[in-house]
Amino acid sequence: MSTTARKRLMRDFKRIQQDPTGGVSASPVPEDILMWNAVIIGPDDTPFEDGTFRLILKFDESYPTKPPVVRFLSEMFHPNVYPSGELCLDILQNRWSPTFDVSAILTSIQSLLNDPNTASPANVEAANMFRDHRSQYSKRVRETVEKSWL
Amino acid sequence: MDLKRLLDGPESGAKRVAEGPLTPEEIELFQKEAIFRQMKAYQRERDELQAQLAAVTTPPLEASIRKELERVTEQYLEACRKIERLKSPLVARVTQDPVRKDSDGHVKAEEESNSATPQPASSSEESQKKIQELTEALDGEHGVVAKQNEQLKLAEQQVISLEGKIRDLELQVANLPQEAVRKSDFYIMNDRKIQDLTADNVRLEQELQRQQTTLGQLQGEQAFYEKDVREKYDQQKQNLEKQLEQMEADVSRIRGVRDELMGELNVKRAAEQELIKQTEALKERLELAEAKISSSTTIDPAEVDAVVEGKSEQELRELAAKLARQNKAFAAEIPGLEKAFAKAHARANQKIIDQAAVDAKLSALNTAKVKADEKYFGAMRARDALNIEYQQVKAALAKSSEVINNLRAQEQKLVSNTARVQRQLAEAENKVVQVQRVQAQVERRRNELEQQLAAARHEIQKLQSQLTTRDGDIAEERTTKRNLEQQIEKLKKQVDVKQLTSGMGSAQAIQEQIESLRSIALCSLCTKNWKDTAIKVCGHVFCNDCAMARLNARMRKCPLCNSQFGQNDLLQVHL
Repeated sequence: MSTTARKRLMRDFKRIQQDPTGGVSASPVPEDILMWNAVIIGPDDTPFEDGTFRLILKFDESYPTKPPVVRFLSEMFHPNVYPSGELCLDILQNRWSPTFDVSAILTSIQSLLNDPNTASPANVEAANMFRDHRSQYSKRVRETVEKSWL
Repeated sequence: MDLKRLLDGPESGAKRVAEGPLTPEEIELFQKEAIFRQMKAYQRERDELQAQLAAVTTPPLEASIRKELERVTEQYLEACRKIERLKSPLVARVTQDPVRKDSDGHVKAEEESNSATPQPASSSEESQKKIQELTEALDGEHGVVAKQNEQLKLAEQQVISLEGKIRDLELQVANLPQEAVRKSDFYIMNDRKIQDLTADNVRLEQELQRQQTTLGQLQGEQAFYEKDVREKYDQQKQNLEKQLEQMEADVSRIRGVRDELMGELNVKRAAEQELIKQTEALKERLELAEAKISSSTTIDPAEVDAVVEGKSEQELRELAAKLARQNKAFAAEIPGLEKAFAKAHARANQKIIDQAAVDAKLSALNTAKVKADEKYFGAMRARDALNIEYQQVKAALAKSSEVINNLRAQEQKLVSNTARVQRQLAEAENKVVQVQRVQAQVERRRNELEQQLAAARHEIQKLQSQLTTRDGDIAEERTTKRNLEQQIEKLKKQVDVKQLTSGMGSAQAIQEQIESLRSIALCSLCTKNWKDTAIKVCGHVFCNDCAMARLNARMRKCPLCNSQFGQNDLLQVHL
């Protein structure tokens, strides 16, 4: 029952509780340690400020060799987030390293919010708007922030 | 993560005492606060909009002042908002403000030290003193830090004011390029117009040339045709006139001949009638003479008897003598008469011959006349034919003149067309000139704006250079601050060590220490096994299981630094 992945996840959870990172929170669902709920608070001085964005992280037994599957539950308007909530982030794909833990993943996602990569957009409309009409983009993001409170 | 935190600075590396993770209730509270803040922001926005509305209705003289005021109030509100945010304890917890943490930690440390002092007073006064000294030094450092913080704040305020200035200038610059862009749009439109017009112009010129060439061709054709027709007409007319003249001359000649012949004929007839009259007179005389002769030659016996009976012989003799005399006279007269008769007869014969000759001549003349008449009629016919031909030629001439008229009308049309085209051309040229003038104006305007822009840019560069110098100052301040904080940290650690060595550390602190030391010694991948295998390429250490698992999964790169390694690059390590 106590596999490498589960042991590692337990340690990650202990780490997060002892050493909480600013603006992120994560905890496994009570009956399944491979399934985590997380909340990212939007970084200050950005359009995402004050937003509480919910995510779900799905690990499998290959963790930490393989990255978890991360998906936003809140509606997002971001160049690197697909409409389904899935993320396009390099460290969750080809640049994954087993040294990353849950809080590192969440911090990376938090910093991705205000620093999108428009070179390979998952949401083309958001990417174009981010590039050409920044104020309009901010307005759309504010809408998602307000929706994230519900 | 540890590495990262260390790089981020000492504030995030500070120990967090009794700070649990965010609970769902706390997140809810945070959301409530956020919603409250957002509401306030919306209220402010509404107020701003109302103010703007008021500004719009008020005269524009105060606009700049009002704008300034708005900006200032906005900044003020922003600052208020920030303060509010910072004040909120939950936000402080959520964002884990390093300043508070620092001070907290410090206070805690102080408290600990304070609380710790009475207990081991007897055992280690020296270390106590040392700690006192250290805390004093710490306080001094704190004072320095506070001072430097003040300086930093001052510098930051300067930076903010400079940034405000830059923003204003940028606004100006943004306005300028906008105008320029608008101008340039207009300019582009004009340019396009010019191009269209020039294209039109060229097209019209080509059309004109084409029309002119066709006109020239048509004119040439017309002239040629006209000349041709005129020549033909003249030639035919001359020919016909010549023929007509000839015919008329013929006719007059024939008439003269006929008149002459008629006159001759009349003369001949008169002569003939005279001759006939003469012959008749001669015949009469002849008959008379014959009658006389017969009366004189033939003596009626009865008459003689009658004459003789009544008379005596004398008387008879006398009578006989008388008769003999008479007879004698008659006999004398007879040859003369005969001669005259012969003469008259000859003359009559001659006359008859003459008459016959005249008749023959007359018949000849008649035939000549008939011939002449025929000739005359032929001439008349020829004249009629010529007349018809003349009419035809006239009709042809009329037709050709009609054609010429048509051609003239076409030519006029073409001329009017060309005039129209030339007028259009002139108009287009005028337009082009106008547009070029506008373009020149626009260009001038653009140059002015560009100059203004360059000036503004220059200003911005100056300000930016100032800003960079300020930034450098700030960075310097920051580095000094960081250094000081590191020193504080070191001092704190020293204090901790002192506390530990003096046996004053709490059980929990010791536990944490042990935990951190354990985490150093455990594999960072599985956090389960002890580190016992090093990668020779980069020197990073993991457990044998993880290293072998990576090798077997063909992910032959160090998880920490991504450097390539192989089966032979593993090294057993004994801690």
